[in-house]
Amino acid sequence: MNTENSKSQMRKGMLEYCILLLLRQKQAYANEIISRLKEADMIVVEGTLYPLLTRLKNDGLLRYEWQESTQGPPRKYYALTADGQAALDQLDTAWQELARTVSYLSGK
Amino acid sequence: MKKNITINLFGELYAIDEDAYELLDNYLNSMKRYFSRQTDGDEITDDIEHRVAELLWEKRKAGMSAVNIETVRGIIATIGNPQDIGSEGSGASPTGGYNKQERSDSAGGEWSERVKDFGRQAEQAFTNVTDDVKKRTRGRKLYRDPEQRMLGGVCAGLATYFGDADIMLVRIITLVSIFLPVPTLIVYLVLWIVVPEARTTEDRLRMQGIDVTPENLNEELLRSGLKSGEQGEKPRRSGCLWALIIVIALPVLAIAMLWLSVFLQFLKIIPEMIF
Repeated sequence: MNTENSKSQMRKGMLEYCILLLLRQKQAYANEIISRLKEADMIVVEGTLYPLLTRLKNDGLLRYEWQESTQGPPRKYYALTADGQAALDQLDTAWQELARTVSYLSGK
Repeated sequence: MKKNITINLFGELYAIDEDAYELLDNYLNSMKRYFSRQTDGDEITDDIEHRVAELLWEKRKAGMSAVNIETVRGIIATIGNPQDIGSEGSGASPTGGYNKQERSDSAGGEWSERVKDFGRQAEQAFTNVTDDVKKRTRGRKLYRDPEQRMLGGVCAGLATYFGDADIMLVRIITLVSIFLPVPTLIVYLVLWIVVPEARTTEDRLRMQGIDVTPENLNEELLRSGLKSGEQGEKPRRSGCLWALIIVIALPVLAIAMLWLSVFLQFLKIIPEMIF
């Protein structure tokens, strides 16, 4: 049975949460977010990130500042806003609820 | 030997092969078009351009001297095609066909069985034809084809839409249908007005049901570029020939039909005259 579609749907749902988690740890450039997510086995196609980051910024959960670099073109340096922190706390709770649901359904 | 040009990405100059440049340009343009429908689409495409610049910088630092087409393909694979991004998981397409409960009617008698059989066969044939048409037109959009047109490109566009059918066949059918109780000329004129012409390269790809990716755009660009170079004169000439045939054949056929109907009337009268 092919579960690839379901898996990719699940990952899509989680992506926002993962980004916020990353930024809670530390501020990051877009390419750092990409490589950390790849390390965590989360994304294959980078392009999915940009619309998402822009939306989160528009929702007020993230902010960025441009930073010049001798190492290449200027880059956006992302950070969580206070709203972002609050949203992340809520998502933590939501994740725990989901985990409880799964263990309930598989345990009993 | 490849032509090489210099591009400027946010103040950094890169030497890039011409074919690689065209592919990259197509890619960024299709990104721009894809995201132009969304709010902040400009910001997103700007982010993507920055990412391209970043990747090129890293490659140069790692020792690359000129950007070739393989590099660009790699970058496109890394960042993704427009349709890979922000695409909702496509739901599984429902399997075609359905099982009908066959009920054998014992009280019907042989005749009604035959009728039912015929009905089933006809239905099956109809489904087969519509399935075939659906398959042939899957993923395609109807355009008028200015490249292969004779008059308005209506027949050419229709032929391509129905799975790259033979255009001449469509034209012949259209011509013949003028003499049938079918409003062919009106339909043709309406289609000429309503159906859009395939102007951009993307249109041409959509007309043939090919995915709009930078690579396919590039190939289609090259192919149609070559073609328009070759066929500058031809369509005009054969178009004139067909127009001539139509102008002559139509009146001839009309007269022939008139004569035939007169003749038939005459045949009816003769028996009366004799007997």
